[in-house]
Amino acid sequence: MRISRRTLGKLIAGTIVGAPAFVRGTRAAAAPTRGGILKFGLYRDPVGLDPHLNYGATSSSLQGNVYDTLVTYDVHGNIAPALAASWSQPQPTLYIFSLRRNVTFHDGTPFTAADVLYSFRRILDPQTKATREKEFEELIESVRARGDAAVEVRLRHPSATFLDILAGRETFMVSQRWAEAGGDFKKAMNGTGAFRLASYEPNVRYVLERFPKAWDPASLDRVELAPILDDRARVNALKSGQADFIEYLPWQDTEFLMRSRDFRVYRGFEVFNMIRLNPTRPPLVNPKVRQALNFAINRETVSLTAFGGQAQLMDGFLLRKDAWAYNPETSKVWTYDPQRALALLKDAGLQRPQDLHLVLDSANLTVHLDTAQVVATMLRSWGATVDLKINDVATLFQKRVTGDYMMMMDGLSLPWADPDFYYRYFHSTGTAYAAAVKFKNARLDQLLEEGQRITDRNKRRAVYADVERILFQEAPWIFVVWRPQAEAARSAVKGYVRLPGGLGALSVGYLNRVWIEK
Amino acid sequence: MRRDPPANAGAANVKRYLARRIGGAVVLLWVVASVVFFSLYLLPGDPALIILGGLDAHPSPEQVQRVRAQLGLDRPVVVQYLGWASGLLRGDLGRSLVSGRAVTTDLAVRLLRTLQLIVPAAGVAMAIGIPAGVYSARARDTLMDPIVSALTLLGFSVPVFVIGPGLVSIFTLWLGLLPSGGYVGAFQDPGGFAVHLILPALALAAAPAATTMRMTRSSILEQTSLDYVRTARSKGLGERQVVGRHVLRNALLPVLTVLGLQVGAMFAGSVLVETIFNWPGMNLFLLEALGQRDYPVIQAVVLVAASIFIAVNVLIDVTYALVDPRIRYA
Amino acid sequence: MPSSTRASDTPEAERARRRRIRRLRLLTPAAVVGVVAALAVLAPALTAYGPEAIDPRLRMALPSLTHPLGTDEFGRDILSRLAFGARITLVVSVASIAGAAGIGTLLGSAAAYLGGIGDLVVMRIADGLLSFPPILLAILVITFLGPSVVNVILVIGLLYVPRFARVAHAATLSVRETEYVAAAKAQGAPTARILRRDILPNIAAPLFVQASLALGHAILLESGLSFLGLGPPPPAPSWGRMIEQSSRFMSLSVWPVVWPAAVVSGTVLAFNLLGDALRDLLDPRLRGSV
Repeated sequence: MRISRRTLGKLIAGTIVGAPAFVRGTRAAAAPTRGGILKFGLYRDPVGLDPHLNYGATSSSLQGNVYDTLVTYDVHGNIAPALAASWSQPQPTLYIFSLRRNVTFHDGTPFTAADVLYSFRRILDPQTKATREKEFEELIESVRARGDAAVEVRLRHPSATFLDILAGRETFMVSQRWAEAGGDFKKAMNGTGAFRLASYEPNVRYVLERFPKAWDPASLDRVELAPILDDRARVNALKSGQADFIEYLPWQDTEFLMRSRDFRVYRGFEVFNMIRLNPTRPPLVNPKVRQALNFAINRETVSLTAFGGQAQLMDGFLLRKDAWAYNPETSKVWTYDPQRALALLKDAGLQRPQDLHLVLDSANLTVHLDTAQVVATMLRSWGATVDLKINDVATLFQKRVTGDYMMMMDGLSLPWADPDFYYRYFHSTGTAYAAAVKFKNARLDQLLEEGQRITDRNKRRAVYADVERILFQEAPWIFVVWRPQAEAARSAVKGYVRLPGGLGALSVGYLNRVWIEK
Repeated sequence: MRRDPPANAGAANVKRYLARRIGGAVVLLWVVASVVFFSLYLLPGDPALIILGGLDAHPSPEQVQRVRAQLGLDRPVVVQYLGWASGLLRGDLGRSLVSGRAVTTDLAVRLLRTLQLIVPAAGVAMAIGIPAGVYSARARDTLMDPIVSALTLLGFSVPVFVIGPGLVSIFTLWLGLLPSGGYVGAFQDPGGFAVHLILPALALAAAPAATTMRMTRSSILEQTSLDYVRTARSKGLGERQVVGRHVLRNALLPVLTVLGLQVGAMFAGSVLVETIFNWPGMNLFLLEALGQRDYPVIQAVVLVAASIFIAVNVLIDVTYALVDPRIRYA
Repeated sequence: MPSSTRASDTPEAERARRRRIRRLRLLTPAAVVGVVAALAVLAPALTAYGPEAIDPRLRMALPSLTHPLGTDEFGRDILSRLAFGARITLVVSVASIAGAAGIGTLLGSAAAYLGGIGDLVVMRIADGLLSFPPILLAILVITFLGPSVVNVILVIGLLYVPRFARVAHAATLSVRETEYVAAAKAQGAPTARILRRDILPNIAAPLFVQASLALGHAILLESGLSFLGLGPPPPAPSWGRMIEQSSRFMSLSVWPVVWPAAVVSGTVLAFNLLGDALRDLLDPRLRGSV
């Protein structure tokens, strides 16, 4: 068969164009290489080593890689087996977990049902001060071992989020034998994870070494976690090769690194910035004033100015477009509408924005302060008087609990993907917001309790749509933006996957999936 | 900045003077530490909240109360003060509220790291400052004089937090020669330690080097106008001999004591250098403890820092008293 | 070390030349300080944009006709921010040093003149304050009181009162026993008047020198505190904070860092030069050595 010149030309062109894709494609399918050391730049020193306290980001990067939970998340964000190889739910309130066999702790002892029971007990023990203590107490009726390899958990009521709680970073499984032999959770770590804590020097370095007997072993030989508190220093460490992987990449450097072939940026939007409003402080007592504030700010400007345009606007509440409970009718309500804001003010009995005297507290963190400044400037140009008070982080924590603020800038991440997260913020007993400022809406409480107990998805979707309708009326916060959260690594670092949706923060707990290309 | 030493510098007088100074210093330390102790309780913010977790932990009021009780924070302030004071007398600086570790061990480690920064920086300051000062004194009234003067003035006019990032921009980001920060243990990896030390030490040494240079220069110039130099010159001794043997020796004395003062001043610069270069020394220890409301650590660092500062001052005064009470510098 | 006298110079011409140089060394930095002060005073009139006006479309812009020094990461005009920042810097440093000089001088000279227990107590307290590493004290006080312009003035003033007290104390001691003071005492003049009329003018010289050097240090201290996030809170465009915030964006543009860095360094340099020149002028003891 004679090949015409044109066809030949096309063939050659096609090969040239397609070759890189072909090669890349081949490379992508290559198996992870064993070995290598990953130098990880943390954004702060791990505050503690306890597996049952949530210390924020380092609970994932440190505890997450050393300990395991009963169930975990796969790369798509679905619940997947971990220390529980399988489970069944014969009744809505009964879970039976079949434990994985031949799993050992780092000290060599085997993992059995007794350890699961001990872990649950430890979380429930007030001495531990576990983050999930309250949830466990409220939710769990009993935990029993069925032999060595199965555990039966009975709940007080059905819960849509029980497995999510178990997959989080505050419910790791620990060794009863080790603890009772004097193991100190604050000073040492003994888990079943792919890495074991080989050594550490506080504020300098934490060395994780590969645990060859892990049930889900790592490719890397070693991970060296080093806290680099200063943002610039952390980015410089990556650029100069001192670090292979850094977390909390400032958005300022994202553009630059994204454009470079030597680095890769992994970005998500699971953290949101909002301004807590205190409904007991005038003039915020009237919900219309709170609504007006939501319409008076231009979220686009906030994103542009405080995050270089990289933030996602929070035009609704806490349900994002990819959430299953997302309802376009109730989940997308806020716009920049100064006219409407004025009208709402008039409804509330105030003549003009000039009658508003507001006090905005913000912690001295860039990711809070920049947003607070922009919002304050916008409200001022709208006509209101805004006093911006700057506190440090410890004061922020305290004010969260005491409710001693009129408006307070804050940034939070969702505890899990299920809309049940609304409970902890807006139920009148919610410790994450409502309880401190005495926010209470009886109907909302009812709905949130209902949403927790029923399991049918369609019914729940309707319930949470109603929740959002009430949230719109009450406007307990100024919902501002979902801010960009990113990690960056050298291009040779492969296998790191950012979990979708609200789970992004947990991604650094899966370093066993990471490998370094030679 | 020092108390004038007694005019009669006999040995007994000096001993008495020393005893008085040390006694006064101890009282001072106690007062300082106590003031800080009580001020801490006026500070808003609760260490219990920090211990209970990070930005996404939302503890219940009961949990918070329980932790406060565990830490002994719900006792009356005076009781806590007495507990702290008695611990201090036994040499026990307490335990960090956040990490649970003994403060003494952590503090010793971090103090060592700050000293590992300050002492080499002081060395660099002398190594640059003294020769530069000698040169500048000789170059007086020549063309080089204003240039060298200007460089010196820049040395202590440009802030440390401009010099530091400037050095990083050049040596790390552009030339790729040195790391941008961080710390490597001196005993585990001396080479790595040295490499990580270079930029921070340079940044910290800039201002003291400049001051040392000026002091050396003015001290030499003052010496050379004194009688004994004229005498030596008129005897026909070469310039080199005059300067080298007599002038330098006498001129260096006030310079050295000023360097002692510089060490105190370097504590100020070291806060900024530790922040910029991520050097986990005592200053960062204090800043972190302040942010976390870790009271025992804050109190301990304040105590130690003040002690060192006072000790350095006393040492300088004693050196002055011992060596030559006739020398006075404004 | 031979000085470079030219053979043709007469002693008068030599002295005149020295005077000219000395005047130049005084006027040049004074002029720089004058420029900074003018910047501060004229701040609102300098550009059309306030220091806080955000323009998200024009972030990190290079110098142009509308923005002579360009814009920062929020799109704010840098010249305007520098000018308003000059206000902060000058107000903080002048207020704190003037206050410290006033209070410190009063305390120190009164203590030295009156002597006795008062002298002991005052100087011991001064020692106490001086025994503390300055920036640590500043950090502690700001953490307790909160960051604000007033608190920064307070804390810097607090750090310098003992230094001025010491200088005044030493100077007063040396003047106390002079004849005219003795004469005034013999005439029965009240203490306050003696302090004011006889002692103060004679200790003014070292105080002025100390003050102008202290101004430079105060600016460094204030900008250092701002850099650490403990200075006047945003959106106040304090120079130190400008440097800190803009240095996060250095990979995108260095100018928002370079301008405030140059201005801070230049101002401190000017005050240091001024202090040197003043010392030459006012302090006869040190004339002769340079």
